[in-house]
Amino acid sequence: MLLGKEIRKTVLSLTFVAFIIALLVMTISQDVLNFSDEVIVFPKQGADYGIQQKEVPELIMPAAFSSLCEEFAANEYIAYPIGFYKSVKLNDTDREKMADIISTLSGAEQEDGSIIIGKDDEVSETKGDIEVTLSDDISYEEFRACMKQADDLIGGGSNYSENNLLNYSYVAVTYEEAIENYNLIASKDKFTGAYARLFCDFVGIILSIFPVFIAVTVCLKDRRAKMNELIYARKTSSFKLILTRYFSVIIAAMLPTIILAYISNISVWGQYSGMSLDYLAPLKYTIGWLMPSVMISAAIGMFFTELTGTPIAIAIQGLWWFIDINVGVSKLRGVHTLFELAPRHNALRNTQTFLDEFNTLAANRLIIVGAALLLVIATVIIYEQKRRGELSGYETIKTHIAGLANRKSKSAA
Amino acid sequence: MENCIEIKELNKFYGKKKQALSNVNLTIEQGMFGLLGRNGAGKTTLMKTLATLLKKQSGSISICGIPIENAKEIRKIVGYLPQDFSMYPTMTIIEAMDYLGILSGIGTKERKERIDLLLKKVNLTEHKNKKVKALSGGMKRRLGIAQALLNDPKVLIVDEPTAGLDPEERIRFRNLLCDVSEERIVILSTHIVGDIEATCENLAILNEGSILYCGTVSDLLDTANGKVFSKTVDKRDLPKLKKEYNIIGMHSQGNKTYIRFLAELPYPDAESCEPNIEDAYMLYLWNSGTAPILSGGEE
Repeated sequence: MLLGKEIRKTVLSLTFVAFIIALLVMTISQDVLNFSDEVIVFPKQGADYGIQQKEVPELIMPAAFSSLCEEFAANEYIAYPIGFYKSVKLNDTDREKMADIISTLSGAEQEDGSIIIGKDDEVSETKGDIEVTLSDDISYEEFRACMKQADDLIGGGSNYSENNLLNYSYVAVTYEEAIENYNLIASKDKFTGAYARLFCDFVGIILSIFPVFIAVTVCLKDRRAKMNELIYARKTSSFKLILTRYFSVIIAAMLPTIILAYISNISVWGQYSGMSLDYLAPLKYTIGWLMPSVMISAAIGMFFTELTGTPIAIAIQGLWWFIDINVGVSKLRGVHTLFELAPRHNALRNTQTFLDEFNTLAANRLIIVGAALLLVIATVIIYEQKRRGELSGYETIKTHIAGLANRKSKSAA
Repeated sequence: MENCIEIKELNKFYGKKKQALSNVNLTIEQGMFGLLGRNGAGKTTLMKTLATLLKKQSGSISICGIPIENAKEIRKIVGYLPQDFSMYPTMTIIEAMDYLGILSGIGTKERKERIDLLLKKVNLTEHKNKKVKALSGGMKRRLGIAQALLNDPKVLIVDEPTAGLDPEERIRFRNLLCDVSEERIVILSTHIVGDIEATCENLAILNEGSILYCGTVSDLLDTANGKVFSKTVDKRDLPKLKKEYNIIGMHSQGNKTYIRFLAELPYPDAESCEPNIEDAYMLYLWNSGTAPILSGGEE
């Protein structure tokens, strides 16, 4: 009864309309609302099966080493520490340490940050172009350890980080691998799962930010309508009211998402007639993959709005979202971390990576759900305190700002 | 006691320094009870404390035998109309009432019946499908009373309900309050003496957080007997009189001015007047040493 009223209140707002528009724009512009052009067929021999990232030491080691030498020579390293481009210049001490790393990898000597090429009579020093080659004696494990040191010196997010090393290793997909991929999609994803995953990849970007706007709107609505005290004085418990409002935001965000997920998925069902499909895949993926992002976004929105009485939650969630989306660019192929907001998997056929990363993804989603529920409980406590006049949020902030302004004007006088 | 509000030694501070309520002692029984005081006297603080929206620092309050600390039980039996309120502007009257009825925990059938009854009582039935944003000030106040009565409360707290209403709406609102006070305690907080005069048998005067008077209206009037005078004076004498007496009313008639003033001792040739509540209220403020300067500027 109350839930119905709260859902009605939630969806009858401009914020919700903006959310629906954003959702439609994202799904249509990224071609994930209609997959009829993206049919996964059994590979034919001799066809082009595309390329894939694969950890091939023979490819990674010379390419990464060569790149490191070039950046060392120019003393300018490209890095994306939190997803944003950064040009790093090392100081003399770090440059010397980097020279040590190159020296270890190549066998060339270094002195005061310069690589000395040749060991006996023909000694030449250089700080510009250097011509050193990777030593044959270096194992892949040693190489990776050196690259990690180099990445640490640069400050992380460089071309030599564990993740980015794979960017040096693209190989063609073989016929056998293509068949293996196809079989995995058919057996594990039942086809529909692969499409649902790609849908979630794009829609997650919207769903990890927009619920904060909806939640903030819901929470500020009472104060804007001067209805706070009418509601505070009611019999209903703070727990029931906050939880109902929270679920109304979740339902309002998830319902159109599930509908769109099915519209997107149904577009390919006809292409796989006679095959075993998982018709629940859109539901499973939207709930398992997307709902935790919606939950945390809404929880942050409600918590900070009730705490401060201001829309500051939008800035907080917006910052997290912005960093996460930028960091996520380096993990598009479906690599996950424990604290990511919007997991990425920007490929239709990369089922093996999904299976390999599933445990991390599941742990991430559980952590996010746990954090969201904790924030909701904290919101209930704050709301109850506000109802009893023990916490005023916005009024406190207003009083403090007025106090500061008074002090300033007094000191100016 | 089952049907009364008992307030003992109530203190409330805002921050560390500002004392909003100071040792307030009150017993409020069934019927209309007026709480009179100027703006900032502490009326709203007291109303909010009774409605469980503010926490007291010390003292005790029990409403119909339930200690104020038991907020959940108190909220079941209290209806509250705040001073500055509204409702979701895009909701219709019936939707807003239904929403608040759900929050009061009233079942569907009973809720529908109560809403119909209350809208009829406050004369809003024909406007029930009007959006809140389209209501006049008076209609909004009447809707406010209706929402406060949704849970059929034993105690109704109304804070400055007639401020900003036109005379007709104000009279209509007072009558409405009298109607609903027959079976419950109604506390009317106001700085408008006319509201108390027209509706309440008992009242308290609150000033700077302290109770100056608590008792019946007739007792209050008795205290002002023989202390209110009127006289028609020459305009030239006005500045002198303003310094000596607390003038509470005057109007010009050519070169003469008719004045009404408070005095412990009569002024020569002044006529003793029948005091009204406003006179008695001003006398209490005057005696407490907190009366504002009422005589206007120098002429």
